[in-house]
This record gives sequence, structure tokens and C-alpha cells, in this order.
Amino acid sequence: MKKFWAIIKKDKELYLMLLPCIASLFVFCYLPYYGLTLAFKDYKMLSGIMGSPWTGLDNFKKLFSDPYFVKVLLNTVKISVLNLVIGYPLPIILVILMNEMYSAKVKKIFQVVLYLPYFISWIVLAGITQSLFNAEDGNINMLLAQIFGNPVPFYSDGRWFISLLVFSNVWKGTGWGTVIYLAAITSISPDLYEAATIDGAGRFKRIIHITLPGLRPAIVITLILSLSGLMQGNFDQIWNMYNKLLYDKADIIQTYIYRVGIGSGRQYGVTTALGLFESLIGLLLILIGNFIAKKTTGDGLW
Amino acid sequence: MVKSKFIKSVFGKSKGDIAFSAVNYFIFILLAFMMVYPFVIVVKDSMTIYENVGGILNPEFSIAAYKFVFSKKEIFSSFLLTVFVVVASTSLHLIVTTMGAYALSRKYLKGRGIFHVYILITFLFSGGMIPTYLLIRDLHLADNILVYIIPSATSAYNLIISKNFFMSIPDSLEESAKLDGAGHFKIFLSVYVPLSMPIIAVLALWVAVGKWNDWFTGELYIRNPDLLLIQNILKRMLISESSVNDPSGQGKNELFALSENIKMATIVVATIPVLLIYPFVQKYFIKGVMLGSVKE
Repeated sequence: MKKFWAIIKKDKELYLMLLPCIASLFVFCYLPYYGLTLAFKDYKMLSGIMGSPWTGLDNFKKLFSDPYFVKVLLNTVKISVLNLVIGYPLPIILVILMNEMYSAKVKKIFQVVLYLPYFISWIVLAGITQSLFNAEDGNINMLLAQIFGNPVPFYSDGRWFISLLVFSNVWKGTGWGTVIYLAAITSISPDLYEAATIDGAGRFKRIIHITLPGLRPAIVITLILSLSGLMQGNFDQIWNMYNKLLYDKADIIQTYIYRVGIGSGRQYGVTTALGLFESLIGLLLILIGNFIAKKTTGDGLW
Repeated sequence: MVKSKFIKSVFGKSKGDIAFSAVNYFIFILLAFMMVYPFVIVVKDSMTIYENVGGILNPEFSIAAYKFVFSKKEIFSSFLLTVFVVVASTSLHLIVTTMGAYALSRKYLKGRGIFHVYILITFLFSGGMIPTYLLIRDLHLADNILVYIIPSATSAYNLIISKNFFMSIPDSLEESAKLDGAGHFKIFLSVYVPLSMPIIAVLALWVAVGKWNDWFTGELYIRNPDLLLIQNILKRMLISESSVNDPSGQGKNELFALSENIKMATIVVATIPVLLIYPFVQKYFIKGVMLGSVKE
């Protein structure tokens, strides 16, 4: 014990500097872990988390036997996979193409324009898509109606709605997604390109042998992070864009937890169980992803 | 002569280069159009009113919507409140996070490995929405302006990338400052902070944009309408009719049965401040992201 205090005293300033963030994480990240016990309890308002009776795995049994849970799970995976398949490669392709531009000034202008959508909120995005794609007078939907004869039912048909979700998500995220790759590209030495050109390597060869290997760590890390978010989905977007007609087509885990847990139902037990299930799958995905990435490419998060 | 020089610098030298560049620029011009088009429509609609001339609706230019937006007390006061929240929470986040990251970046700090694991756990595994909600309520942060500021004082991700940045600064700087008799607080403030503007700018941008655009905290925890942020007001204006997503019961009122130009004008007013942040931090941007992502 004496030794412990001696260590603290030696670097007391450093520990003091560390204290606020350690304390903040304790309160706002570690204390909620205690709340996870609700997944195994029947929450009673008056008794609080601690006083509510244990019910074992009842909440999970209830959850897994609910056909709507299966639907929500499939929706979550479906929407996330579509976002991943379309949204993940795009920033990489764009950065490679940008890297081939001759004028740094032109490149910079395109960069800034592509960043624009990052800055708007999901509320604004939902408002703009509503105004552009609604079936009554949406600017773009009216154009589509002239071409196809009928307005597209973006806000009442599940498939069209999911297309709109993925499209607007990719629209908002792609430009900003290039940032990490652009940062990685600045660390590639220009000498490599020069040497390759002298050796007679064409544009395509330079991309394959210099640009892509330089981007590899960023490509791997982004993939691991995107995979780990698979179960989480994009709550902000879906919550602000969907409506009652689309609940069973576009409800994801998070929107369902919010709707049933905090909204009308107040079913804290079952929704905490669902949240725990989601967090565990997320943890598993990131650990597996990191393990495989380390084994195959040597790059990883840690 | 001038013209060919221009072509060379923008499109390249050989015929193949020029053809490639032309296609490449064309793709990006299309993309840029897609990115900008919705913004143009929003601004245009915000300045258009429709005059009824003999049964036909005639579009006309008008800034009436902006006059309306600025005259509404609810919008104006939540705008000011949001500015305050963004400044306060971003400052707190930067102080807590960079200070902690500096301490973590000292290799001789005892228990460094344990602190790392402690932080990493919060990154990998979250308590989830319901436990967090109940905790905030039990801490009496609900319906309290502090709920916008205190819970976001730091984050595992930002701690780790700023720690990585500090580690890229040579230790010799710390040692020579120590020889001059400076303590850690002083070394941090006078040596490390000035050298770390790239990462500080990146964090400031992330946190400030996130806060300006935060609607969830207000929807989840705030009942007092005077404490709602600009995005909550926007949501009530934009998404009220079509959607029934309103478990918070903040509801709608007749004030917000609005015409398109007013909705769009509010979007413009609520979006311009956040667009203004970027030019200030742009200078540091790429460097900050790059050095933050370098690992030990």
C-alpha cells in the first residue's frame, strides 16, 4: 500500500490530469454496465434497478420467441449489409481517383464539396429527403413521375424506402469517409511514384503496387470498424425518416429498443436484454474482425 | 502558350493522361453536382413564395421566410442556447481529453497498461440505450442543461487518437522543459498544446459538429421546451406531419404547421453555423487525422 502511494506521489500531476477522463468514463460508461443486470430482472419502477426481482433468462426467452424480434434482426442485418457493400468501397475508389488528379487546387475544391453533407444533421437530411422524394410534390420524385408515369412510393413501400435509406446514407457519408484514406495517402512517398514511372509502370500498375498497399492499414481498420457496427445500424437516420407504415420493413434493433423501451411500452427488461444481445454481437464482430485482419494482413486496431 | 501550360498542370502531358483526366474530372463534376444540388434546392425553396394568379401558382422571390424565422422567439433562443452548449461542451471535451491523453502518452507512467484496457473496454462494449437512460435519470441530469455537456466530457476513441498524437512528439522536448523546472501542467500547456493544434482542431471539429447536430439528447432527456436545442426545434418543424415518431411526447403545436419556404429557411439558418466551422480547422485537418491514426 505504501508503495502504491509512493508511485502516485512521484507522478501526482500526471494522475491528476488523468483523473477527469477516468472518472467520466467510470460514471457514463461503467455505471451503465450495472444497469445491464436489468436484462435478467423484472424492472419495477418503485424498486429501482437494485430492488427489482431477478427473473433469470425470462427476458431473453420472451425476446427470442417474439417473431417481431426475428424481423427486426433481419432488417438490421439487411440494411447494414447494403450500406456496407455500397458505402464501404466508394471512398476508397474516390481517393484513388483523386490521387490521380494533376492539379492540387482542383483536388482540394472537390474534397471540400464532397465534405459538405457531413456537416448537416440527420434531422436536416430527413427534412431534405422528405422534401425531395415525397410522393405528393417532391422535386426529384416529380421528375421520376414524368419519366416513369407514376411517382415512386419511397415512403410507403419497404423496398423503395430501404433504397432511399441506403442512397441518402451513402450520399452523406462517402465524402467524409475519404478523410482517413487521404490522410494515409499523404504518408506515401512521392519518390515511389517517380521511381515506378521511370521503371515504366503505367497508371494502373502504380495504383495496384503503390497506392493500394499504402492505403491498406486504413482499408483494414475501416472494414473492422464498419463490421462491428453491423448490429448497431443507423438509428439517427431511420428514426427520423421512417413512419408507421414502414415499421415492420425498416425497424432495426435500436429503433425498436427506443420505440418499445422508452416510448409507449416502458419494457425496460426485454429491451435491455435486446441491447445486451446487440452489444455482445458487436463485441464479437470486432474481436473476430481484428483477429482475422491481424492474421492475414498484419494490420489491426490494436 | 498560357493555355497549354494550364492543360498540362490540370490534365497531364500525354494524350492518354488527358483522356484519363477528362473522364476523372467528369465523374467528380457529376458527384459534386449530386452533393450540391439538394443544398441549392433548399436555398431556392426557402426564398420562393407562390402567388395565386388566376388559379395558377406563380413562384416569386421573397425573404419573408427568413424574417419569420428570425422573429420567432423559440427558434432564436434555442439557436443561442445551442451556441452556448456547443462552446461549453467542446471546451470541456478538449480539456478533459487532451489532458488525460497527455498523461497516458508518458511511457513511464505506472499503470499505463491498465488504464489502456480500462479505456478500450468502453470503446468495445456499450451499456446500451436503456441502462444509460436510467442512469442519466437517476443522476438528475434529465431536464437539466448539463446533460448536453457533462456526459460527453470524453470518449475512448478521441482519447486514443490524441494519445497517439502526443506520442509522436519527441520526448526530448519534455526532458528539456523539465530541466528548466517546469511541471507537467506547464509542459502540457506551453510545449505540447501549441504543437498539437492539428489534433485539437480535428477533435474540436468532430465534437462541435456532433453537438450542433445532436437531437437525440434533447429528445430523450428534455421536457422543458426552453432547454431544447436547435435540432429539436427543427425536428418539430420538419418531421411532424408525416411521422408519428414521438415517444417523448414533446408533440407539435399549431405554430409549427408551416409552409415549405419557412421549413427550408430554418434548415438554412440551422446549417450555416456548422458549415462555418470547417474553414477554421481545414489547415490542420489532414495532418491531425494522419498523426492521430499512427499507432505505437
